[in-house]
Amino acid sequence: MPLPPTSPSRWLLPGLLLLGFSTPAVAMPTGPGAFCAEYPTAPACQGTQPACTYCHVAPPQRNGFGAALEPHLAPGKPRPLSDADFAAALPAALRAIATADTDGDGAPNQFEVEQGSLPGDATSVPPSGVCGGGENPQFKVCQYDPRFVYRRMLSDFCGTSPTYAQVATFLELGSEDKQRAFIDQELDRCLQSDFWRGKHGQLWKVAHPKIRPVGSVKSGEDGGIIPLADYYDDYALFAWSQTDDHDARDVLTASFFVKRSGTSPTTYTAANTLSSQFVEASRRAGNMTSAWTLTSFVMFTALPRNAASQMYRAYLGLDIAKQEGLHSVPNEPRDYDAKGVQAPQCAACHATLDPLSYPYRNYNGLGGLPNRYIPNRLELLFPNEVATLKNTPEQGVILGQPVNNLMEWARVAANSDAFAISTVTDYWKLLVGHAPSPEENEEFVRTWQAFRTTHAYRVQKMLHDLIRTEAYGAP
Amino acid sequence: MTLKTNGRLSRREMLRALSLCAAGTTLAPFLSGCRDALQTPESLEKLGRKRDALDGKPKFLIVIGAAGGASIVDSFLAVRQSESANAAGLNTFPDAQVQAVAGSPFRAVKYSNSRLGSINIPVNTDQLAFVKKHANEMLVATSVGTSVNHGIAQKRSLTGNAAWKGRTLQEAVALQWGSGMPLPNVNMGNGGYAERGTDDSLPLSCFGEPVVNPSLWPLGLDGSRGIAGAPSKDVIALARSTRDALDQKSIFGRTFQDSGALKRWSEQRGVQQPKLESLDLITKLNILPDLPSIPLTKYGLESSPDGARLREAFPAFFTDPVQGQAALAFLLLKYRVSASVTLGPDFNVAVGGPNGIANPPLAFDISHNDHRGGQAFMWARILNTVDSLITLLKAEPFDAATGESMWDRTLIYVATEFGRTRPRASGATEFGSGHDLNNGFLMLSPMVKGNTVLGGVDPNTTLTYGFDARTGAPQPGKVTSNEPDIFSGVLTAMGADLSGSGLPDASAFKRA
Amino acid sequence: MRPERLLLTCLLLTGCSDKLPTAVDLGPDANPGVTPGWDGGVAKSQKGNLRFKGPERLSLDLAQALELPAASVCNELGQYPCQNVHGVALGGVDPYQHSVYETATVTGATTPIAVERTVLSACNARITLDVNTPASAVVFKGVTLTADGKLADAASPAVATAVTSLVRRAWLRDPTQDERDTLVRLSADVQATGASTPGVAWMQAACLSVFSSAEAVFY
Repeated sequence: MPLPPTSPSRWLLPGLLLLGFSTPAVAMPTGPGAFCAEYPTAPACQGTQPACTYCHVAPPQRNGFGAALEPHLAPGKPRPLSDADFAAALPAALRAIATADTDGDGAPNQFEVEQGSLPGDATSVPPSGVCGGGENPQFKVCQYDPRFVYRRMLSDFCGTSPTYAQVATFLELGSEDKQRAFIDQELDRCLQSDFWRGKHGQLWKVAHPKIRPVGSVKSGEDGGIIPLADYYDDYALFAWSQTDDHDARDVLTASFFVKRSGTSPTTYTAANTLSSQFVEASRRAGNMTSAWTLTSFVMFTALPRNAASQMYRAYLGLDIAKQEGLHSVPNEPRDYDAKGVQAPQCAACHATLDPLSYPYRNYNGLGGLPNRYIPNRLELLFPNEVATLKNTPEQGVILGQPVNNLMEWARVAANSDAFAISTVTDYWKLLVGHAPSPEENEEFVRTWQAFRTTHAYRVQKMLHDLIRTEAYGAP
Repeated sequence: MTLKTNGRLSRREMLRALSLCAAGTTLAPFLSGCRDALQTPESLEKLGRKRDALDGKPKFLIVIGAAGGASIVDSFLAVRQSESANAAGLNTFPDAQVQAVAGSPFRAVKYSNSRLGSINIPVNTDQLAFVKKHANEMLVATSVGTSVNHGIAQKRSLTGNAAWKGRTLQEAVALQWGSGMPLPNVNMGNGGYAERGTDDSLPLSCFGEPVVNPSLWPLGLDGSRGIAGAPSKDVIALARSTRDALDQKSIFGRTFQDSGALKRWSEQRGVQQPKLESLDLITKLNILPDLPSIPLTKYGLESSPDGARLREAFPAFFTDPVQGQAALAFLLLKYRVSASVTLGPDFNVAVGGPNGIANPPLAFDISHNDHRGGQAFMWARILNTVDSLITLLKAEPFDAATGESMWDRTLIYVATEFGRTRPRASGATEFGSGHDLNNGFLMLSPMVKGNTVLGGVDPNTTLTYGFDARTGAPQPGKVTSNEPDIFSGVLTAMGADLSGSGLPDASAFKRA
Repeated sequence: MRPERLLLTCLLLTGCSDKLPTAVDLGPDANPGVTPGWDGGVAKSQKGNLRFKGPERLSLDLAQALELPAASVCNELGQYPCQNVHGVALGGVDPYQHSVYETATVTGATTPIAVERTVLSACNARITLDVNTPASAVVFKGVTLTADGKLADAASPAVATAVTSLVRRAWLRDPTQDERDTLVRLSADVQATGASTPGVAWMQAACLSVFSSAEAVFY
């Protein structure tokens, strides 16, 4: 299915024009792209694009910023605007309110956009750029503080604070270079600890919202009452991909499995087969095709939208349910399973979600032949469904890019900026304590770009960068 | 002009508010709710909070998160096959399974099967007794949501999809009626039901305090009681005051004095903690009995005076999370700890019940596997819990002078998340269903317009249609989202003053 | 290199021992165990870059600092680990049974209470060991109690050393003279409450003060 290039100005949806004007203004997924064309250096556009919540509460309902834009969007033209008209009008509308301060926080809209804070949210303000001076006998406020970092790093990665003696000796190392080198050495030691990589450790904590375990239906070790699938396999692959010299992308692209064994140390070993996993090697895509993912996210459904959206959310940080990562595909959704997703209020998201889900069409969840790849699954297992269901292709689209199957989906995802951003964001939240703030944006961008390039997706190397940021190390 | 009519405190109301704050404890000036009451009407208006008649008497909200998607057409708006032109292909019931209640618009489904989907336990349920008993205090409002994602739909059923600056119903109730309460909003829910709202202008105390193990949680409501060999309260007080002084003077404390985390910590440690401890909640909220495996007496603790009664009402309180939550919910309201409590099943299997399973995997979402059985089983679970809570609340006096019971001032909101798809294979009695935006919500309270269905259901599609939230007039053919109406309806029924909120007029929800 | 520095260096490096070293108490002869006070202004942090320890770090730090087995730190009713009972209140996760997949971003209303319970339990465990087996005391070494349970001599070097030891274990630094004096003077206030075992009560109070302080539970 050939698809046009992803330039927003060429995305035409004739169907919208045929709908008439009886419905309120529909969401405009072309908005983020047009926004970034106007503000290419904005932090919200570095390797990503703003979510619809930049201008909307929940489309079409607008927040203050969106409401301020609306009168300047092709004034006088009948609503709803076509995608093309909207995309053409947005830059001028943005410029029209560039010097206004919509949220009344004292910072003009354009300044906020360029600094990375939200122009429609008074509680989101640009970084002040000022750090107070003065003396402090214990902390190097506003600067990287090795003592502060040493204590923080040991707590974060080894699970315990240093002792008094350890701190004293650390300080006696003298030069900051020696101290930093020592911190790096200790980080490498702690990254081997069970606190970090072991069962229920910090890496598992990062994985919980991705895997979303349900204990009572777990099979295998620590099994539940109704054992359906073993999510420890997913944690094992995740931990493996985040440790040592392993490529983090394997969490999506691996055609192998991983076994965990031992404690203190815990080891993770690659394996070609596991008795708890049933998808053949040629059809595997890391945790995307694990027995747990298929059980809990495909479950009984024909077209696994939930599985696709959860992988998109978990590993690319793009939550379609919050209007993030929308890359509408022309002539979609086709609504092969007749769920009514072509309705305007649904199509805004389903034009992205449905083609994102097609590559899952042959991966079965629960029911006959559970947790397997079954060619012609929809035809075989859903014979009584609507006739158009069998027309669901296996080809899909992710981030505007066509893919032939789920393995290609996984590779496109893993190689995307979004994956790198999402991975680093996970650790930023874990270690800095929050998602990157506007004043941390420069360091954040440097970190995820290095993760992709210099460090070839090695998380442990990225962590060495992260603990050297001021975001982490300045009190 | 009084608060009720123009949003401004009269002099008499202001003096009364101040006196209420001054009474009771020396901590009153520091309690955030009281501080807020000392604000000007203008600043209160900015917060979006205006009170009903300032009588100082709280009202209570119980949110029950019907996780997984509780279908209103598998309960109070069920459709009989004889009523539908498309009966065989849609979720309609044999006529005998849909029971009418004389004088009531509600239906009651009766269902039996030897198994619950793939789980080999029988399901035998009948909603009739519940409807007969509670119809006059029930309201069902039809709805169309905006998401079929569990977490998103759950949250939107609490926020009306950001209808009032992103605050949840529980936060709004905590703000209105939680002044002076130590934990105005306690949340035992999960998923989207447990998320806080996005209105950062609210006082910290309005946001939900999470509780995952209701039976053991009360053990954490006193800093020293129940710890073997703990020193006296006087010694503890000395330790705390020494600690606080050291924190204030230390380089660490002075360096981070502007940190949001430390400011919050100071309030929680210095204001909320003493308040919680002074109420002896480690006893009052503890329904655990004294057993060898729960040696309360050995550790200087006691069971709540209500313990035996609640264990009888909820015998599986320790193993069935929903029963434990319901027991704690009642106590939190009774002892004026909270104005709003949230509870509900999660997706885990819970052992118990007459047949070994108290909660099936995925709660209502087991409908993917067995729609009819899943819905029947879970509705029974929810309704049994509601019935037990109402019984307890009715028996609990609220105000001896007026004769009001706790129930008179409580609203139970069953947040059904989203609906289920209607099609089934022709004539199938066992089938699975997916998620659907079209559904309805259930409310119970003496404060709602009872025995009322707002909206209706089209028997030929089994889809619900909407209504005018102000007048209650049904609007056949209306199938657009009405999330703000539901949100407004709950607060309107409770008598909250919503002027300045921008919420739609939902007078139709309120009992005259 | 001075012997104690050799010891410290060895304690710092990884190759010396698999077990994390414990705080070394230099005693009053080698070092008075206080740090100079600071009378000037203190530059404030603009970022407020602090993190709450959470259930695991709190328990592990108490175990390390008070030289206790991890399982002895705190158990409700003598058998239910506080880390589990109060895990979510302490900002932890509960993913498998209760679907709490992410840590709270802020401390909760009951978090300080759960901290105090955990700290007090750990303090009691250490104090019991030090008082009942003084020969192997770790924190309150040489702190003598009278027959009626009072501190034999609040002004003794052993008491001062014990305070320094507590602070070093919790705050990873020496106390200032003022901080140490405050904690020593606490003994008189405790005694004035009429506590039946005022010496032990002072130990509990001092330990609780130090280990439940913000400096000990945030990092």
